[in-house]
Amino acid sequence: MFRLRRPERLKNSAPGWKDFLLAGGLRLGAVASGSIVLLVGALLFRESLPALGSVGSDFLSDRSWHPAPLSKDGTFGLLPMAAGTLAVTMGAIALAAPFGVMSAVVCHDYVPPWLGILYKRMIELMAGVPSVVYGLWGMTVLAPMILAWRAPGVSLLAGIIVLALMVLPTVALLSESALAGVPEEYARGARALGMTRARILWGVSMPAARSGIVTGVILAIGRALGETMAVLMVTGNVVQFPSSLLDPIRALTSNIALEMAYAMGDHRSALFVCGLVLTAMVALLVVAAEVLSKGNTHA
Amino acid sequence: MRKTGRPSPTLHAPSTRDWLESLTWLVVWGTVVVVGGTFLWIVSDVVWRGMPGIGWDFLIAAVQRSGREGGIGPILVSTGLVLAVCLAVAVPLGLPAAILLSEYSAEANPLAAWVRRALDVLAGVPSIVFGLFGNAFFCIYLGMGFSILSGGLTLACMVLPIFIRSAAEGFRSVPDHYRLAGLALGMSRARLLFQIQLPAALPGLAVGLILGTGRALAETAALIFTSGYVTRMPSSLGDSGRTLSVHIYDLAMNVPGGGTNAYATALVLVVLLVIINTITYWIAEHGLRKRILSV
Amino acid sequence: MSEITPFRKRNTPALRSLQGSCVRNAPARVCHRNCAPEAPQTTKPNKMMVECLSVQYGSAIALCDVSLPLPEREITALIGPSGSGKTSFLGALNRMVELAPRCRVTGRVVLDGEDVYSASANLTRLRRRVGMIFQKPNPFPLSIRKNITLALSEQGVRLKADQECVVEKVLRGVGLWDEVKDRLGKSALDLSGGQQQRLCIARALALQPEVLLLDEPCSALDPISSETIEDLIVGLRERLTIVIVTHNLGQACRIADTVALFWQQDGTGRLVEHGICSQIFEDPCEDLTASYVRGRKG
Repeated sequence: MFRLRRPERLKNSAPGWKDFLLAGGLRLGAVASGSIVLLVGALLFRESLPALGSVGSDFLSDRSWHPAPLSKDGTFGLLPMAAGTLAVTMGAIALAAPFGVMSAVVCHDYVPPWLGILYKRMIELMAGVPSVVYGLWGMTVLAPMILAWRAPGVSLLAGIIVLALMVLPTVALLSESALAGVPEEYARGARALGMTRARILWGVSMPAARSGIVTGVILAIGRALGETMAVLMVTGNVVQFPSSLLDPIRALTSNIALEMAYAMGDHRSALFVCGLVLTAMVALLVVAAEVLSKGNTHA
Repeated sequence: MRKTGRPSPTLHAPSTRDWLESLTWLVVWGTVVVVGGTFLWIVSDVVWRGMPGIGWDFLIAAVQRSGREGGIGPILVSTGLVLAVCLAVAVPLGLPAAILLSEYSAEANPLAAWVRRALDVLAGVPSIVFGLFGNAFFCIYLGMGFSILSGGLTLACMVLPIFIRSAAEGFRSVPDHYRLAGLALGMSRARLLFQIQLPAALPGLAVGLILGTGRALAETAALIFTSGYVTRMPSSLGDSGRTLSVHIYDLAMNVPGGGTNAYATALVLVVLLVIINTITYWIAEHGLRKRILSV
Repeated sequence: MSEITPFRKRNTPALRSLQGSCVRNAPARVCHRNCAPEAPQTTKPNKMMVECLSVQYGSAIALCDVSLPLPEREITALIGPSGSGKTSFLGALNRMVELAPRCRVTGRVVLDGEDVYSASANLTRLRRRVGMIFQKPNPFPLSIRKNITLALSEQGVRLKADQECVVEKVLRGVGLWDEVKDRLGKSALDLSGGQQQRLCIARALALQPEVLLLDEPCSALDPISSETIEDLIVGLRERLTIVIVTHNLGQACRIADTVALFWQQDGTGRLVEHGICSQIFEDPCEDLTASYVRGRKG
């Protein structure tokens, strides 16, 4: 049996105009969807241009963030907030990735089927719960608990826990579908060789599902980098380099949400620069994902 | 039967687990307990604190004293309108892209490869950046101002890659041999697509809708600066309107004493999500079944 | 076959093709073999004519320089070990092979005097005239009835009564009617493997093809189902030109009028010998054929 390349050349098939219309429609829709990213990029760039010109390298050299509508009146250091974003993201992923992958296993094996199904429904629900609800919980339950232990409560740690809960479903659902996509014959073959289910899981299913799992983790990183509300509500929003898990921090995303309402002139433009930096981080991630997945296919 | 000196594995030996098996078992059950426990904690917290505030009045009444009192009637309406605008734009735009991406591999079609890459980037763009974009483009550049239309369109841009990704996955999961069979029968591409591949891909489309709707309903950051803060009942798509999630955020962060209503609104939002989730699930299961049985 | 559907005129050949365009793309590798097909050893006219056919996927040549006549209303069996290009040959006859990645076909395939590979050939019509059955039964995930009527309604058979009539006729034709007449609305995927394969054949027959290509139709089935299918194929012989790929020499011997042996040399499939069934099995010209059919090689 031969593998498919693509549908036959549409020009040649019988009810020509219908299929021709179909092909044209498909292309048009796809191009329109794809070009949104160009639009977003172009606008982001256009709006950040004033600040890039007048503030320039001060974004990196300034140690503090005291913005003003005119660039000469303020300081525009982005690094503390970039550090805050990275710290909260990495912490959340370190927590969410293992739990997420194991959650995917729960949906398939090791627990009674009814529990697996229930658990999957729960994870799907988790994916749907809004970030503000997680933020609300973090603000009113988690932060006071941390406060009872050490002040100030609203902190990097609270951000990490809340963010981990939020991105866990991304890892779990994508890993789950990757595991579900592993042909049953593999497992059956391995079982026929007398392997235990743990060895089948780690030795056969997981490697076969690897590219899906990696994609899930990378998507989760992207989601964590970009999360605004939950982080805003639980991390305290003090602009500083975090020195411990209990320090309050401010992420780039929170910064935009906090100040956009009243920002003017160069300040507003500087917020678009924050957006640009975030987008650049994510774009790098996408490239990394593509390189990784290419490497994987040959492994 | 006499026992031999050296125990060889027999079929009736008690099933001994090796260390890896035990460890995996432990980790799996640990995950169930930790993740399930935490989530139940959050949900019960929301239900516990939100329940007292909920009533028929709460759902239909207007917002009073910045939300400390009154209900969320106008906010529900605004949320519905924003969602409707979002899906009405995202689904028709996304479906063709999903089909194109699933049918053509990267090496076969450079256009598909570029669209795929663009969507991957778009999927990763943080929601707050969509907020910036929507504010600059729809509100200011296109002159829509803070309005439900701006908010919905911004959300559509945001939801599009999520929907396309799952929909394309759905199309890709349709076995190749259906296409082979259809082509061997001399069926046109259009008929093959609409009669076989589209119905067979319905679960994928449904998943795309679940994720997209959930993401749109849950979104706050992209809406603060596009659909705005106004709590009045919207009279048209050009009006500013506050969605449920923005309302929760505002009550929690900016309104002292808004905690009870914040939780009540959160409960409404979560219940809405459960309903949407269930309906879509049901459609995916039964819609497909019905399609198969239809003559 | 034509008596089944009085409401539909037989398709007049739609392939208005050029004659004599044998060398469209020069083969990447020149194969030294006589291009002229040998005279068929049967008296019937040839339904299809394959001349100098080569199929390559990327740089790999799957099939090199095959010329073979396919006599009308006869069963031609293609035998040979795996990788000898039988499936590629079959796919080349209705251009399904072109769906494979980076596939290139050179040579000529003539159906009733028209070149299948000419630029103006209409793939949809070609595939309706030259039907194909796959190794694994592949019914659509639809009802049994819908499986048959789907492609039919595209050909203008839209009236429900007409469709019902065709469904009953083709299902009777493959001996499936009594088994499924009470559950035509049920999913085709609930049928057994053998029933699914018969449904696939029925589905193809509903289009009134002139040629039917079968790619190891019995290899995924149990012996009883495969015997049913085999009888069915023999029954179709009086109406259709049939080309069947099979690994089962006994099957080829039982049902075929003509047999062609393919063999793989240096990664490339070639036609070793073809002739009427009895000659191939009892008195082959080539030593290779002799040892293969006697089970000594392959």
